[in-house]
Amino acid sequence: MISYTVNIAGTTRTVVVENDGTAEIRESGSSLHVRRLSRGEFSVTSGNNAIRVVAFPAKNVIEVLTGGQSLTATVESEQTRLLRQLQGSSHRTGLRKEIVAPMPALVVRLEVETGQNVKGGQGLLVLEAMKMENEIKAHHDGRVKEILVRPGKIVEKGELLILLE
Amino acid sequence: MIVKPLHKILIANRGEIALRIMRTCRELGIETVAVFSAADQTAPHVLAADQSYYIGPPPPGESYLAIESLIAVALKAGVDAIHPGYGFLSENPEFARRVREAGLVFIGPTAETIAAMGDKTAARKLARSAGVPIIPGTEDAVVGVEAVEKFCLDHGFPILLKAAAGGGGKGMRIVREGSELRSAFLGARSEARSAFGDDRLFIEKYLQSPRHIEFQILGDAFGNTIHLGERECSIQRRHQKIIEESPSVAVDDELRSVMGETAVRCAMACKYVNAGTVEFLVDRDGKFYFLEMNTRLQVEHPVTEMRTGLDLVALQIRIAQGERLPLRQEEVGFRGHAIECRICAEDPANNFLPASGRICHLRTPSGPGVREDRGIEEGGEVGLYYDSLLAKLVTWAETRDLALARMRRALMEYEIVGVQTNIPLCLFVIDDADFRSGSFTTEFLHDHVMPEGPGLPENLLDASAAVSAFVFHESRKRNGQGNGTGWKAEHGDRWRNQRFEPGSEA
Repeated sequence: MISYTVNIAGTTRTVVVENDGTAEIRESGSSLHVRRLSRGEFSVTSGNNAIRVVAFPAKNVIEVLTGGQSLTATVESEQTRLLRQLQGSSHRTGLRKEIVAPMPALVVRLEVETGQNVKGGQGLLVLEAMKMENEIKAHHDGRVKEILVRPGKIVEKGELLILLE
Repeated sequence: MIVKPLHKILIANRGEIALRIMRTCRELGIETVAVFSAADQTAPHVLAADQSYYIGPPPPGESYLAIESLIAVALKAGVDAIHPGYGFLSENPEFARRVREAGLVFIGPTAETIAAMGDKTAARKLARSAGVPIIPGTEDAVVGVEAVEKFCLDHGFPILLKAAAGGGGKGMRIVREGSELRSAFLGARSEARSAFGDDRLFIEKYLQSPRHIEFQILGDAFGNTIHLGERECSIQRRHQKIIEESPSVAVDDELRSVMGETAVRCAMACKYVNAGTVEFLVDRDGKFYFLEMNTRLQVEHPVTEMRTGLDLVALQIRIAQGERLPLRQEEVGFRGHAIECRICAEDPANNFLPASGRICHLRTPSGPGVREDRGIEEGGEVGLYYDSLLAKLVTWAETRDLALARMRRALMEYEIVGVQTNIPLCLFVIDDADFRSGSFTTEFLHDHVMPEGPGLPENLLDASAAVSAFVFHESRKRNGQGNGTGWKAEHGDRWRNQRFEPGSEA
C-alpha cells in the first residue's frame, strides 16, 4: 500500500494504490478498482460504474485520455513529495528571456537583429510547420542579446532561438 | 467520345485522401499504385495499394510535388490514369498538362481550366463575366506595399490580402489598420511564395462576418453540368476549415436554387469537366459573392456523399473515362443532414500549433451514421513535413440536431494518444449554443474562445488519477523502488510536464 500524489487537470489527489489494483482517493473517499485491459487501456470500476481510461507514460508525465479529453498527469510518491517540501522547492519565476521553438519547425525569417530593442508582443521571427507560418513574439519588452538560428534551419521543439535581456 | 475504361490508377497523394480514393478503385475493380516519400515507407496508403513506388526524400518538393518522378513512375507502373487527390499537385496546371502529354488521363479538369481558375484574379474576371457577383477588390495583382496603401486609402479597412496563385488560406492576411499593413504584406507574400512558388497578391474588401458556403458541381465532357447542393464551412481557424455540414441552416430552398444555378453557370463558363467546387461568401442579408473555384475533390466531399448517397470519386473516374453524367439535376436526391469534423494534429494547450509524435494508441468511432476517413494507424509517426489533417469524422442523421448528437457521441469515442489533436475544440464547437442554433459566421472562433483546461466530471478525474497512480506504481515496482520515483531518475525527483517550464511557450 503506497500513497501517491497525482496532479491532473489543475487538481491534486492523493491516491493509495494496492498491488491488486485497488485504489482509494483520499480526498473524496472513493474506492476504485483499476484493471489493465491492454498495454495502455484500463477499466476503472466503482460500484456499478465502469469507466474506460487510456493511459500511456510519456517523457515525464502520464498521458491520460477519458471522456473525449486528453489530460496530462504528474505523479510522485507521497514520500518524495514530503522530502521535497522539507527541502523547500524553489519555483523559477520572472521574465522569460529564452525564446524557444514551441514545435519542430523551419525558421523562415528573422524579424529582429542582435542589439535591437523589442516591445512585448512584437514579432521576433517566423517559423513554418506543416505549411503554416507562425510568428513567435516577445513576451515582454527587452533587448535582443543573441540570435541562435538562421533562416532555413530546422529546429526541434524546445530549441533555443533567441535570447532577450 | 468513346468510353475508355480505366484499369490502373496512380494516386499522387498520401494520407486519408489516398486511402479514400483507393477504396473506390478497389470497389470498381481498378488496380491502384501508391507513391511514397522516405517518411512514408510504412504509411497506410502504401500498404493499401496494389503496388507502391518510392519517389524521393520527405520534403514535398522532392517527392509528392516532383512532377518528373511521378510521371516516370506512372509510365513504369503502366497506369492509365493519375488521381491527384487534394493539395500537392491537384491544382497544378503544369502537372495536368504533363500527365496528358504522357498519354495518361488526369482525373480532374483540364490543365486550361485549372490554370484559369487557379489564377484567382483571372477567376474573378471569369466569374464576373458569367454574371456571378464578386467581392469588390483589385482586378489584378498589386505590385508593392504602396499600391496596397493606396487601395486602403480609397476603400478603407479592413481588407484581405490574398495570393493570386492559390487558396486554402495560404498567403492570406486580414489587415484591419495601417500599422499591420507592411508585416501582413511581407508575411502573405513569403507564404504565397513558399506555398505556390508565386508571390503575387491581390486585394479584396474584407467582408465582415460572412458565412462560407460552397456548392459541389460535376460536369461531363458533353456539356452536362449539375450541382450536388451546398456545404457550409464557416467554422474556420486561421482560414482553415474545421467543421463542415450540409445543408446549411442559412440556405433555404429558394437561395439554394439561385446559388446552385449560379455555381453551375460559373462551371459552364470555364467548360468545367469533372468534380469541382464553387465557393461563396454569404453576408448577413443573404447576398452572396463568388470567392473562388476549387478545381479538385475537396477535403469535405464526404459531407455531400453522405447526403446524396453518391460516390464522388467513382463519378470522377466515370467522367474521366469519357462517360456521361449518370444523373440529371432533378434526379439528385438529398436526404438528412451530414456534418464533418477535421481531426488535426494540433495542440489545444499550445495555441493550436501543429503537433507531432508517434501514435501509440488509436481507437476510432463506429456505429450508426458514422463514417471515418483516416490516413493514420496505431504506431504511425505524425511528422512535420505534411498537412496536419489526421482523419475526417463524418456523421449523418435525419436532422441537424440528431447529426450533432451523433457527432458528439462519435468524438467522445475517438481515442488517440501520442499526438495532440483538436478533438476538444470540435467538442467545444458542437456543444456551443450559438453553433447549435445556427447563428454563426466565419468569425465564430474569434468570438467563442475555448475555455482552458478540460471540464471533466469528478468521477472521470478520480478514475484518471487512479490509473495514473497505478501506472506509476507498476513501473516503480518494475524498476525497483530506488529513489522512489520509478520512471526516469535522470528527470529529477518529479515528473514534470515540459510545457510548464518557463521559456518553453511562445
